Amino acid sequence: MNLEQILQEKFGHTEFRTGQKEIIQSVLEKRNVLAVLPTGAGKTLCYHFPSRLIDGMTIVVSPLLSLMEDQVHQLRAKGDKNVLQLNGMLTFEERKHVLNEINADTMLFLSPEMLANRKLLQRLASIKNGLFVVDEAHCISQWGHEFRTDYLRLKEVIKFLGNPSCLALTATATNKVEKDIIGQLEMDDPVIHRYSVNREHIKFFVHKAETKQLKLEYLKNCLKTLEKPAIIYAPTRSDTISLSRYIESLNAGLTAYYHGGMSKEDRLLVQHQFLNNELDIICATSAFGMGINKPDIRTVIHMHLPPSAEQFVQEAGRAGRDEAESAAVIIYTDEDKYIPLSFIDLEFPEEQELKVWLRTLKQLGQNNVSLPGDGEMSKILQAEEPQWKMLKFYLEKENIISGPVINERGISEQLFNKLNRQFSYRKLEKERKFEDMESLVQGKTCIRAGILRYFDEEKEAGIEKCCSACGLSINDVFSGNKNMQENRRLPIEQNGWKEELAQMLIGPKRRTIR
Amino acid sequence: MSCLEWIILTLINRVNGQRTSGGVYHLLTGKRSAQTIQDARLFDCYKIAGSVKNLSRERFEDSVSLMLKKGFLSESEGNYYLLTSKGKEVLQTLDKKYKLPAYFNGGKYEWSGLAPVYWERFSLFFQTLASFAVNEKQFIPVSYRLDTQRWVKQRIRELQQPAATASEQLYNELVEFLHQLPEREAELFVSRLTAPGHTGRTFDQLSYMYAGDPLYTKLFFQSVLHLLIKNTGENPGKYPFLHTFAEIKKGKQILTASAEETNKLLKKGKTLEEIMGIRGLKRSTIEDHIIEIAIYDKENISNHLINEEEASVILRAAEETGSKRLKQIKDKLGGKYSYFQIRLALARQRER
Repeated sequence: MNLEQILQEKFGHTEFRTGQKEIIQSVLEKRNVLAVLPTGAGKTLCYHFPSRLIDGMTIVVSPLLSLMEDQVHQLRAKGDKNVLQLNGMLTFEERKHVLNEINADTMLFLSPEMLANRKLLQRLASIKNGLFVVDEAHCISQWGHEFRTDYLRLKEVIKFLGNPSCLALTATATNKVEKDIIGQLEMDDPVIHRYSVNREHIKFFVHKAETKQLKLEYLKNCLKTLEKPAIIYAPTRSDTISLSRYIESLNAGLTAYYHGGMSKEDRLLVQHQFLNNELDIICATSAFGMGINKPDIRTVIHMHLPPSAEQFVQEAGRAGRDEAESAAVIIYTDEDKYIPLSFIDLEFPEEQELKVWLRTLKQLGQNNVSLPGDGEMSKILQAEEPQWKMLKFYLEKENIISGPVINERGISEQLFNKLNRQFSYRKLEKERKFEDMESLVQGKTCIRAGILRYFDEEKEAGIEKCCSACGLSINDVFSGNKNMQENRRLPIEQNGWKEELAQMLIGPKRRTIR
Repeated sequence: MSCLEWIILTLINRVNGQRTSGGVYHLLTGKRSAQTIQDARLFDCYKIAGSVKNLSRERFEDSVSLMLKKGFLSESEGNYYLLTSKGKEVLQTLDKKYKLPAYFNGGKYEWSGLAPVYWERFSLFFQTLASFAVNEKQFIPVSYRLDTQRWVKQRIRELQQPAATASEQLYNELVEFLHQLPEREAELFVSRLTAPGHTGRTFDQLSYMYAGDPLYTKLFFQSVLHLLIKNTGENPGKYPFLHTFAEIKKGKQILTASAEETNKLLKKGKTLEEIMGIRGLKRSTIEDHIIEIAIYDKENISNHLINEEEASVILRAAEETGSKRLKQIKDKLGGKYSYFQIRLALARQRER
């Protein structure tokens, strides 16, 4: 089988990118595979390609809804109509429709919470399953930066589906996380393909500012030199808005903001505009960028400290997928650490809170109430839904909750102490992750080397002048002369709506109508 | 003060302390319950109801408590709000700044979800034809909804003419329609559309057109959409393409699914009690359905539930008390009529 030929014919690429071929070969040999591939290395092809060749359906579990949607619609847009998705955002009818349509040639994207649905699993099991893909596999590990309790079901699910071969993918895994993934998924005799997180053409620049105002000053200067398109990450929704207003006032380029609180239609439009080079700069929260398949992003700027090195590497890695020179910049002040730390605080319950939760559960159990749904239950506890899900996960592990039954007699002082210890421990872990991130930028040593060390890579970066800590300055790399290919939608007042409409609908060629 | 504050103040003023802030919130977001649908008629805010469908409860509560703090509102009893004289002044000023756009009819087109469905289909259809015009067969769709994508695909497949001719036809229909509008509104509408190389603008990006307020801009856009649905529906011959995007399975657009079930049984001549038995539902639920049906379809409610005479007695009492709280009306009538009968009479009342 000539893989290159298939790549050319079915996918329109002339060559594989680093790692892709090796991973695909292992998958085609029906091995269980763990692949650690850097962000932007083309993970999707690693399962899309084999899914076209193997006998049976390919299931892809992916934790991020917006990412899933983008992926599915991009693949479908390229003509692959047998790519389908099932997630909580679909209506009942939609889900029914998808379940009717799936077959042994389907590539089906699933959000992890769907796997709790017994009926759905039975339907999936009624089809021949060829490949089971776990995307963002680090979510299965408590040592990873985004632990998802739903992921712990995966090994049962794989068994239930008749043990199709498994491909676990992640961009960010330390050795500890790697071992955890293999253990948690019970991967039998796995092949491990690990590629360096290092992306040489991305240059790192860190600048610490004394005040918020000076941070904006510095940004202003950066934008004169750095190339576009650019993403600027900010910690909160309101920051993205004020930042985009600021950039507008500088005339530094066409800009828009993006955050999870916008309507879906507007989010899609902004994303479209950016993909289409109708925008230079996008100011966004971390909600942006997952499913963005844009090879020519030149600059990623963080106006804060990301909560972990993993998240930083993922977000910065959105620059330069085309392997041309790109910049990853962090501009921060000392105060910036309070935001991630307070997010961590919010994630875990205080002692008193935990006490109240357990008491409430005990009461429900004593009254023989069967466990309400997750949304309902978080309301009862006045907790955030992820908080309740996390608690539920631990309670299920302790057999306090089994299905809808609450075994209230197990809820004791002892249990409280145990849970409290676990939560404090997880909280500490997260705080440590943030501290690791902090020390990456605060040290006087090479940032790239620090990142490689963090991911247990032995080798040193091996490039001179690779980041600001090594003495590289933005002006050494970028001149600010190169402008992006502009593709602007003119203000409608310019030509009038009628002309605009004709251009859009009838095309520039035949503009003689009426 | 933004357009949102204006809408909230307007509604609180109409409701005038006769519903809790929750009731006001449901009116704003167009909750599909019999109570809220009835309230929209009672408080004469059918057109503005459902105008901010995506408003979160938190955002609403924040806004209310801010206006309370500023002294625009006063709390009459727990969660019932009234405009203070200062609040009335503010509203008067805002009424000069903001006006409900001419064709905006939230109760008719937003509440039912008809306008959003129309727009999703139309904008994807437009994007598809526009992509064909420049020979782009692959594009990322503006709508991710699979049922919308299926609907449009089907529609494209059924085209009787070549794509280029269809584009011209659609162009002509749009020009025909947009010509009657003020220039600004036509510009707004066209700016929302997506074609290759021309991605639609967000309401925030277009807000410079309308007082710098994205929500206000959105209202104008929706208003154009409402007129589009109305015009094309009234004159399908003139708009062979544009009228089709409003097609929805009959009856589905207005009543909630469960009320529709009840409606079918009513039409078969079943009584309220029989329907309770057949559907295994509580009396109050069926009563809610009947109220919902009565609001849209007055003729269908038979006289055995309430006759003209009874209805007019109740309405007179309602007028005399000057109140829309059911309890006060009931007391005024000496408890002779049930809440259900009072609600039914109010529901059948003509739109003011």
